[in-house]
Amino acid sequence: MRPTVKIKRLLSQANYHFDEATRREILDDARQALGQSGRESAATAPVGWRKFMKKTLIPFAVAAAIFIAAGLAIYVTTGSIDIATVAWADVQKELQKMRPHSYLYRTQYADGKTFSMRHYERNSYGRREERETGEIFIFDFSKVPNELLILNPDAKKAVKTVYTDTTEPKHINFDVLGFVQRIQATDAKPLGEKTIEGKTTTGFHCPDPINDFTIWADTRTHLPVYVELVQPGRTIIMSEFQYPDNFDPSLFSTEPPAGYELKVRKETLKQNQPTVKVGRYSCTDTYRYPDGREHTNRTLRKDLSHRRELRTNGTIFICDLSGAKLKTLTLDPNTQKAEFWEAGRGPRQDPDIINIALRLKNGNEKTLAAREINGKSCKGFEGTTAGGEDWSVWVDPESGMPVLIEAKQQKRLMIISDFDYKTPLDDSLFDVNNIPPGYELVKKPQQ
Amino acid sequence: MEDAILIWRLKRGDIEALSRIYEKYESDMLAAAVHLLGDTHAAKDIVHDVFVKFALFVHKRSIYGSLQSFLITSVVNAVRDWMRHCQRVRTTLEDCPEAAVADDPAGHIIADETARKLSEAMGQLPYEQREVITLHIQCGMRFKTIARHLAISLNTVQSRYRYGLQKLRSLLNSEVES
Repeated sequence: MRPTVKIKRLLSQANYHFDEATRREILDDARQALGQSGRESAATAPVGWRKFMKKTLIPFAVAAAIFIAAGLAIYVTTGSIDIATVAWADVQKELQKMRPHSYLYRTQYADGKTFSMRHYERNSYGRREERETGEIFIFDFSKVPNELLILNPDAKKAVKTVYTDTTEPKHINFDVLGFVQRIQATDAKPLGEKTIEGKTTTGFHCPDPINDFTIWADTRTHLPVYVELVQPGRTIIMSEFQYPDNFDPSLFSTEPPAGYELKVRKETLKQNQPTVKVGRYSCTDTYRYPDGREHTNRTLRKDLSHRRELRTNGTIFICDLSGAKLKTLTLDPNTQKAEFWEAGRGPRQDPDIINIALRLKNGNEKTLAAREINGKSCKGFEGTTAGGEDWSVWVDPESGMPVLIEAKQQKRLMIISDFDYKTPLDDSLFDVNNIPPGYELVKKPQQ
Repeated sequence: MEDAILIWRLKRGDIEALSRIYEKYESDMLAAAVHLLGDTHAAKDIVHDVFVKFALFVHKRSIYGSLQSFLITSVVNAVRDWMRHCQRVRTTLEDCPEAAVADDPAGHIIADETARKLSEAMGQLPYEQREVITLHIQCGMRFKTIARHLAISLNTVQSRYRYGLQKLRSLLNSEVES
């Protein structure tokens, strides 16, 4: 047998499966999702309609009627089906030519949060993001090793990350336009004409349960003017497009402008970085703000998707990010009210604080003076995270696990202390449906 | 034919059909995710996400072609989105899940010896080659379809496939020659 055939056989015969607990978890979540989906049950469908549709010719007649009606509707709104299809092909043709472009990127999440940035794309290897926070991210993955520069214009600080394990240029861009380019003409439903940003545009709707696109393209240039992408839990809007012949190369330079304090850190892009398996633990999180405010929570963690916070004001906050819907329960012992809230933005995970802290020990870290913590002399080190935050970490001399973390975040100091990796934490502590007796349940509107 | 019936039953809310589809294609989805990511934890999340979304949206979608192909393509797309997302947001602590972790011997995934060796070998190929090999061999997709799907030329697809297989052959020398 030829070696290639053997490889093919090996690939198709490789046997992977999950352990029983994971399999059950996935199937449970899928069953729950199936229950939430707006399926049509045969049992609940109108009986008369089903009988009617069972006649041999009726389904064909109905299909023909729907087809004619749809054709007429399209004709009335846009002129003709043919013209609309040709126009979509024109848009795709323009998108096939990769060109420098920039746009305003806005995300509106189901829970009301928003994010926006100006996005500049030079080619598929490099981009610049001017974020609403004021930070500027410049990715240059055309050079080897790949580099990322984060500029903080307010603080005049720059953090350059060099991905040491990269051996070739990498395509990194978000490629929404590339995604649009792949939409089949038959999937693009014409929406007619509209004036957007002073330009006459032709609209197309490409319905999809996960990536539902609406694109308004300039009728003259056929280039996108306004793109709306609806995904479960969020809507992304791209507008104010610019298509210059080229950008000023300095916009994409990973050398910081004069006057910036530069820190260079090395990291690997490879996903399987060394890490530790963290079990359940608790810790005290303290947040100190420049204006003197301070918040302290005792946080219990089951994993990255389940946490319970005991807050300074006495309330208990339980958070479950593991399902398709994020669920939280806030228990107020003073009013005896249990506030339940859910939103469809999951599943998500909290940052893995322990591993982020331990990964700082990558050869770039600086050693700090040892500190006496819990009667032990704990070694400390300091490093910069991928996000450019300076973290100081002290670890237990025996277990090597963090016992104190101090993170200088953009607008606050985060101190994580009093780690307890040993006390058992019961599942019921993290159950958002576990409402203590005597509490009145209040459901916040679902988002 | 069985898949068509399963889909038909699933669209009517039949949980048994959901379990049957999962059992039938768990290994295929997982193999695709592990081969593409080389990271069992992330692979678990991807398969979890793909299958839950499949259940959530099955009533709205028309599935053309084979169900196996549909699910594996969904995994490949999800992996690509996940990698983009990680590259895009790994720069901010708040957004980045930092979920990628090393192989965990006591983890969630059980793989036989062949699968383990394959996964290691696949992990040494560039991502683009892994993607084409997965789509062609595991998904049964034609090169032409892959080229359209990835918006790259047919020649690029074929060369990625050829170089990928060559490298795999040298990495798996003993397995292939035996």
